[in-house]
Amino acid sequence: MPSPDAIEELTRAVLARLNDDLPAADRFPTDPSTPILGDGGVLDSLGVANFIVGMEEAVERAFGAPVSLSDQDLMGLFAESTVTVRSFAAFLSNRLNT
Amino acid sequence: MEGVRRDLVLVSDFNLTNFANILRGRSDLPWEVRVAPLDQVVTSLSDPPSTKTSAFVWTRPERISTEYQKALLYQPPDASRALAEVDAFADLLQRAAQQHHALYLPTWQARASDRFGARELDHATGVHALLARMDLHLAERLDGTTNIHRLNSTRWLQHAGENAWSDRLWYLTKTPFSNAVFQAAADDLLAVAGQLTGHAIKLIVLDLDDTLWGGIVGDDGWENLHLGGHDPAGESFVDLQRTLKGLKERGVMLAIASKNERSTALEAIAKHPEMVLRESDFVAMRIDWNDKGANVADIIRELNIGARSVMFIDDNPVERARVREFLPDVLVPEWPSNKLLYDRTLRSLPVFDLDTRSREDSRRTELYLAEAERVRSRVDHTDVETWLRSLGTVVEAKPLNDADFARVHQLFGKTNQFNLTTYRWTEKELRDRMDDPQRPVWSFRVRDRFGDAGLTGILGLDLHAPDKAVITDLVLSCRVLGRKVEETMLHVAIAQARRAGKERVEAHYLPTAKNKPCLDLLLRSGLQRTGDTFTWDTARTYEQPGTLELVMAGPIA
Repeated sequence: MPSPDAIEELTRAVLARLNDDLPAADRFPTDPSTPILGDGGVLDSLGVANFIVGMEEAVERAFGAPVSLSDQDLMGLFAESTVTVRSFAAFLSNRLNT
Repeated sequence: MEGVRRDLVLVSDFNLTNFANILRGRSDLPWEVRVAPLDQVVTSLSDPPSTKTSAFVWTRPERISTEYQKALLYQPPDASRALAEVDAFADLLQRAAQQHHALYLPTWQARASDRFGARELDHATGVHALLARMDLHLAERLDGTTNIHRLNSTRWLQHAGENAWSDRLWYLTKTPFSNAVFQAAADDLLAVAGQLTGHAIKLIVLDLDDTLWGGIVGDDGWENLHLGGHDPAGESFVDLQRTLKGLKERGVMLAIASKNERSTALEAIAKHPEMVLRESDFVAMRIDWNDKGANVADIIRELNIGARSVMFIDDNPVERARVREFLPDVLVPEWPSNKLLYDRTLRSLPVFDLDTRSREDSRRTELYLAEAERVRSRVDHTDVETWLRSLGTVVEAKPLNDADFARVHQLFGKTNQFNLTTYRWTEKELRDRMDDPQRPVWSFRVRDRFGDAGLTGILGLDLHAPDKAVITDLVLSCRVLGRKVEETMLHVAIAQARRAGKERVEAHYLPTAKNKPCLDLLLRSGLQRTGDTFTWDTARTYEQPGTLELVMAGPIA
């Protein structure tokens, strides 16, 4: 099953792909500590939607395992009020491995 | 891309914010992009905008036609009512076209994955047949409205493949398509807009060996080239040549830059029975052992066209890199190593879109060949004045009329270098000027002993002010620049202002990245300069150049 590092790499790749579709002034950092969801998150509501759809598709392509994130309240799945690239990857890795 | 920056408003019944972001990320974007409120197509198109605004109107057919909506839910549709609903939409678009600079209208799409049984394509009741009829009906209704440009969205969906439609994004954000579709749409939209503002490719410079034919003519001999016959590569080269010939008929010029013995290459072009292109199809040829970058630059100089209008095709990556380095504005597409893909590669390039076909477009090769003869004749004369007199140039000026309207509108849209303001008049604005004696427009045709350059110049005046005439437009095709036609246009402007009782003529130059040739004329014209405004007192005559004959037609005679 995918390691947390592999998921983190995939998460950053999806964020980089989102950046490619944005004007230069609107692009955001993709390092592991970047808050992406919740308080202080760099993604707006459309960005969050693009991100979770991008993650679902990328996970299925990379690991052949479907994962559903878009059909539920994503923030409700997290205990923290701010989700970083790394904490999102850890959450997803845990979900894929259980 | 244009001298006057315009707005592009995205109007849709679905969420186009992702598309807007992709457009805003493009460095060559000619517009400020904004998104109209979601699903307010009628309101957004009914609000009169400024004529500097263009609209990109992307709708779903089920929002235009309730009958089509019924059909999607497996109810039998009433096709005649569906077409009446399309009529209502067409009426809205035509009204909007009067108020906007341009409308861009992607074709409707149905999801190919939706299945409606064996009769889905039946003329009377089939869902997919109904959509095809609606689309065709809309095309027929909009035919002739020249500032509505329909865009082929099928290509965008094919580009995106099976992930073109995104149900996830639809339910989360009301965005039906993935960003791959929007990327392809942005490519297409910018290509069409570029063509409309004079940035289409006008010249293709071609290598010969393993580009226009298979093999090395100097080694193999023309009889042994792969060209036509029962040979996959030979067939593909013939198809490529046919495509190039077709582009030439649409006004794209062809030239050769090849490292070869000239006589050997010309023999192949003349004698090979399967050659589609012959020597007369090329406006210029550099067949020698010189550097290709320098040779392409030489051709561009000879034809006096902008490097951004030029494409270079060569199978050799080293030569492609050389031309890219030497001439960064020239388009050098990556070329496949597999010869069977040459024709498709050329045909898929989004750089040849054309809007209004004009007589001048299809005659472009002939016109430039005449120009080459004209330039060659220059060496026979010791001074420019004598040479210009020897050309026997005749300039014919006449008020804008219906017969010349399409060409004048096209020339406004495509001329960048000799253009006072680079303002792109909409068709409606231009028609309004035809009926307004205070804002006259004249067209200029130019011919000489080498050929007829056709309608190549436009002069516009505003006579509203009591004491002055303002030159609103001074536009001249680069193909006749430097032959005193531009000075003749100033002469006409000033003579007409005096005739209208004006004390002075003003020209307000609006600089762009490309229109310095117009500034150069104003600087050498003798008009008095204050900033970007140039003035002439009509008490003084502005002499007509003596090297050409001016024929005035219509009321200004």
